[in-house]
Amino acid sequence: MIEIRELSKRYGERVALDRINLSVPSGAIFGLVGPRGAGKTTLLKILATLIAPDEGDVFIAGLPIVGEGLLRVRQWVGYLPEDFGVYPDQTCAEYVEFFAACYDVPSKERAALVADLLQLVDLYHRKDTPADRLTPSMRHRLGIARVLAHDPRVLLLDEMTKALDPRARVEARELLKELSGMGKTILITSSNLAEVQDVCTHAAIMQAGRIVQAGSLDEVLAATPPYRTIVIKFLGDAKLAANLIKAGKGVVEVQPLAEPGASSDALVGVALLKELRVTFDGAYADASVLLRSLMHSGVQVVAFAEES
Amino acid sequence: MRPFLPKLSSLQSPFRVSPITSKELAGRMRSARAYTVLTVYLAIVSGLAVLLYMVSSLGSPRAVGGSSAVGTVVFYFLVGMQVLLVSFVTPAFTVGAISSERENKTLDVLRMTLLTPAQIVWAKLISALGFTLLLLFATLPLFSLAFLLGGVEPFELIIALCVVFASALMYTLLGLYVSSRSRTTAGATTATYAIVLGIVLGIPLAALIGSSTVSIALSSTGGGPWPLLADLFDVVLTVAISLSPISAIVASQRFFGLTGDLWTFTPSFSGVGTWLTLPSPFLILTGVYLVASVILYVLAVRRVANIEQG
Repeated sequence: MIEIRELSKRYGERVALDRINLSVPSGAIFGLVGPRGAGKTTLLKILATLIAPDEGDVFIAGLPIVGEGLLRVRQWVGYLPEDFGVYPDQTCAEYVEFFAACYDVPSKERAALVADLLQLVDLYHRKDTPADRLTPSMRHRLGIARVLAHDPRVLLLDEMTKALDPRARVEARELLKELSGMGKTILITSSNLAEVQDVCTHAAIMQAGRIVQAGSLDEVLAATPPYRTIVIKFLGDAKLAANLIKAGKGVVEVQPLAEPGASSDALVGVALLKELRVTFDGAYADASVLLRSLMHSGVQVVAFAEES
Repeated sequence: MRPFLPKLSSLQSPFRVSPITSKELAGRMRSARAYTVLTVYLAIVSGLAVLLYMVSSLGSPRAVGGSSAVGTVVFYFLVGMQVLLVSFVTPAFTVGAISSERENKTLDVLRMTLLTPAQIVWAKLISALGFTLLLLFATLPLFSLAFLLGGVEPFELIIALCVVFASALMYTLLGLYVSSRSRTTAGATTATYAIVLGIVLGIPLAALIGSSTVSIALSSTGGGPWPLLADLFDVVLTVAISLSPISAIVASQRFFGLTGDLWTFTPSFSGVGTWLTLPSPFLILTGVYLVASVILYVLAVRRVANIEQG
């Protein structure tokens, strides 16, 4: 369904993508995994026709994504950015209907389509709620409804599960399986393979603008050290803690827990409890060293546990 | 969900109202702000027009021509208000057109639809112009007061219409273009109003100062040695006057009063030179503004096509 050949993209001196070759089979749920800055979003934006590549060729359903094929490709592709906005003056139903109109869905079909899509993402009961008043998790579901408005064959989902709470992540995985069952090819990015390996049929590991491993999920898992997520709760200087953790052996990425309410600044007594999620591929001994270095540096570690 | 494969043809139809235009107009007319702007604008304009009528009537004898003088005053006041509206209020409808999409992080998903950058910019332009036209047409009943009193010649109406509509188009597109270049709406607003102020007030002021200085310099030398320089000065000054809608209307009306020719005039600000014949300032303004509008539209489209939202 997607063929990428020798694709390169530079931003000034910085190489974002370096001669990428990738093939995504039709009907696959393809996980594109790598740390921040690996080039995942750039690749997705090129596939979404938002950025022109410097070199190389990209074909979606056999159509080149540049030149005259551009609008045809857009009919085939739906793109959900990691961070996207909504119009404050629109309700959820109006938001989806607006994008359906932008994709030229006939007006007489739109009302039924909007109802179907909002039901699919479990937001029908919120159809008249202003879109900007939704929780981040609901907003992402609305984004998925928007992406599906023109019934694309290919879905490009950038860090889709990142903004979701644990329950919503499980629901999102179920939704991905449902969409795959509808015959859609899905390309999903994540900084953590563990996050997407439950749903993916194929995967690729990206690092510094290159594909270092690609193939079926089993092939990639066999060739890749297993990523784990360690959740660290602590009191004290969050910046210091984050820097110490980043310097630790086996640490791939550090990020604050994103879901508001359970996030980095929950009040506990008078002190602020901070919480970081660490993507980790080191040994248990490395994790132990990491914990020790935090405690020796005065960070009051409250919890240090591997996420199941 | 039913399978659906859209056709490309209907979105490209020039007769179809863009979803963006529908959304923007609906959003604008749904808010109380649109009605507040309309009401306040009409209240101010009609209040001042009535006041002006009363003051002018007191000063004018009830003889033949008295009411027509009042009509002329009321007409020019209303035209002046229209010019101020299109110069200073119209850009406000477009300064956030693209930059707010960037700020709200909606631009990428909008650009990914089947709408081309040209269609996006066109839709934003139409929705902004739609509201401007509503404000302009809402004041038309007030113009009947001026026509009732008389004293307004058809040529004055032609001048006013050309200047107001060309200005509305150009300043709307100016706001749109600056918006497409700016990361924030606040930055776009500041830049747009700085440019508008420069055009509407800065250029005529500079022309006034420049004309005094240069005409003194030329007359002190008799102008004899440099007739071409004097011609150049006349041309530059005419164009400068013509670029501001306010000075273009005043100058066009004045030149017509002096020569009886609506379309051309022979400037001689320097008092010397070869007496070139130039188009009337309102024609220069209309031509320059229309060309500038086309350029600004093309630049805005290119900008939207090349934006890489972070």
